Amino acid sequence: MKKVKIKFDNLQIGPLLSYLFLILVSSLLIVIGLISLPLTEQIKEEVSYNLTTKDDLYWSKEYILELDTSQTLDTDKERNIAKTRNIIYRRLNKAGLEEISIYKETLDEKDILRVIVKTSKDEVFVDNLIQNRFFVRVVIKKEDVDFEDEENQYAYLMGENYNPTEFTGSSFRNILLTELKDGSGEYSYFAVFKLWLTNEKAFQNFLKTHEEETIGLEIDGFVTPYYVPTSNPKTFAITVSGGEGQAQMLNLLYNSGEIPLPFTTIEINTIDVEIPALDHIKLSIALLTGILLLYLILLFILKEDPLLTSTSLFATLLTIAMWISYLKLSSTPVDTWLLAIECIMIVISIYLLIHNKESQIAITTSLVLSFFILIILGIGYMKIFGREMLLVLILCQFSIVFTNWYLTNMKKTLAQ
Amino acid sequence: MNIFISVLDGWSNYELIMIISMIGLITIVGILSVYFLIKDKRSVLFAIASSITTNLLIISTLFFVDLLDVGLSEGYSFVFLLTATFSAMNVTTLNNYLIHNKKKNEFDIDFVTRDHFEDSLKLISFICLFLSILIAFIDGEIRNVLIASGISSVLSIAINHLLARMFFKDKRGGK
Repeated sequence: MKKVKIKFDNLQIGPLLSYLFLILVSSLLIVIGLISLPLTEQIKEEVSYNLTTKDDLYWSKEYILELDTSQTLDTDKERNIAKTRNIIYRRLNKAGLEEISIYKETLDEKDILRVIVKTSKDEVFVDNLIQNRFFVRVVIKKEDVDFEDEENQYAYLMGENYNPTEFTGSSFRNILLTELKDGSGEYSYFAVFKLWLTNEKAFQNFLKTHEEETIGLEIDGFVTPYYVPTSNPKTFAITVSGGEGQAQMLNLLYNSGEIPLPFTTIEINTIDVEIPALDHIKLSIALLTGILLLYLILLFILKEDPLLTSTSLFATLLTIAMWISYLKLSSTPVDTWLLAIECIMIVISIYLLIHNKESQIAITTSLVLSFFILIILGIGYMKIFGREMLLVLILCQFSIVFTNWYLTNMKKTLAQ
Repeated sequence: MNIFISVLDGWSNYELIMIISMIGLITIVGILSVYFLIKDKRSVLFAIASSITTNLLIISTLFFVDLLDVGLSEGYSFVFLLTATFSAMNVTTLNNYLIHNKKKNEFDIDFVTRDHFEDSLKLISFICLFLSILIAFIDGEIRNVLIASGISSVLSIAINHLLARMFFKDKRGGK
């Protein structure tokens, strides 16, 4: 049998690898483009590339909360109502609800807070954030109560069987919800109570006094017992039942402030949700046509530099394709109209970044800072827009660098 | 004054504090970035004037929308977001031309303002083209938000250009 020898003497490995790499990258770009296209989701039923919209997730409710101001001095009443309103708003805003309105009203001489929400978040989660006062205080057992009494097995859970102490939610600087190993070596969520420096000594003395005793953490009348260990310094950490979702909710309830007034929910009304009717397939086609039309005008009527224009167009299409592909593959629910606004921002941002090279760093830095401010201080859609635009900006920067590399290498390879 | 009264009645203190701090901080970031980028007194003054007029324009737009009895909802926060972003982009292009031209031996402010004018026109065309595409496909409140945002963005860019002509009216640039 004749042996066949392959000679590698004249074969240049470097350019060949570079060529293969470019083919691989080009294939990846085609895949990203196809996934992002609006009609790709209809090609194959087995693999879904659907854009998950928030349209079916939205719900809206009105909660009427009656505030109990009977225990409050007249001079403090308005301040406490305003504080209650602020804390409920803060909880909902931190939870990332899309639309929140809270109105202060008077109904039959009763002080009312009317909370209206429109959101795609979990309904039970939002219900809990609105309807729980979550008044936290550390309590000690009443001496005359018998927790071993078989006729009242739940006595240890009832707030009325405990005496309050001076330590309430406001005595703690922060309540950290974190996953830690419990006694059995399993990971569980714990609420770790961190004190203000001024309360540190008093609380440590309090725990020392009740060493090897069971004290409790009362929340809205129900108590979680806590056995004080002998170790020093003592940490006050309560086990939290439930998973990550429960921990997230408790984090908001613990750390959004202490509601000064007790309240009860007297009415809950479901409101019809008005969602802007939008055909995202037609809109995508229109946006794509708009982008192409714009670049044709820039190139042929305004006679802009062809290299800059083609780089800008390529980077724009790549960023939009990557962003939509990411949203589709991660099944992130989106507001279609917000996505359309983000696409417009991508078109204009990339054009400006490529045509203003001298101030590219300054533009990016100030945009990043502005979006961070939106995430931290924004409310409703502003927060969502800030968070999404920050990711989009990172994609824009990547696309610009990648496009320069890709087009240069492509030109070189085609010229060979 | 209705809008201001309804703002005070309908908004919690928390909301007001957050919104005011957000607008204030974003404005400061914009002005500081101009200062660190150009270190030119007139450019910083121009950025301050542009921020003030843009914010006034946004308030006027919201006031006008309220007069039409459309009902201001949270969606109208996009009037602020879009107008402020487009206005900031417009200021940035002027600054870019200033930096670019200062590197040349013969600095001509007329050339800069002319380039800025062309760029402002392009930005206005971008906004009109894309917002009209969106407006054609979206209905309800979001359409009104987009129309209000589009009008205030275009006006803010036009005012920026007039301000640029005022601040950089002499033939020679510099500090």
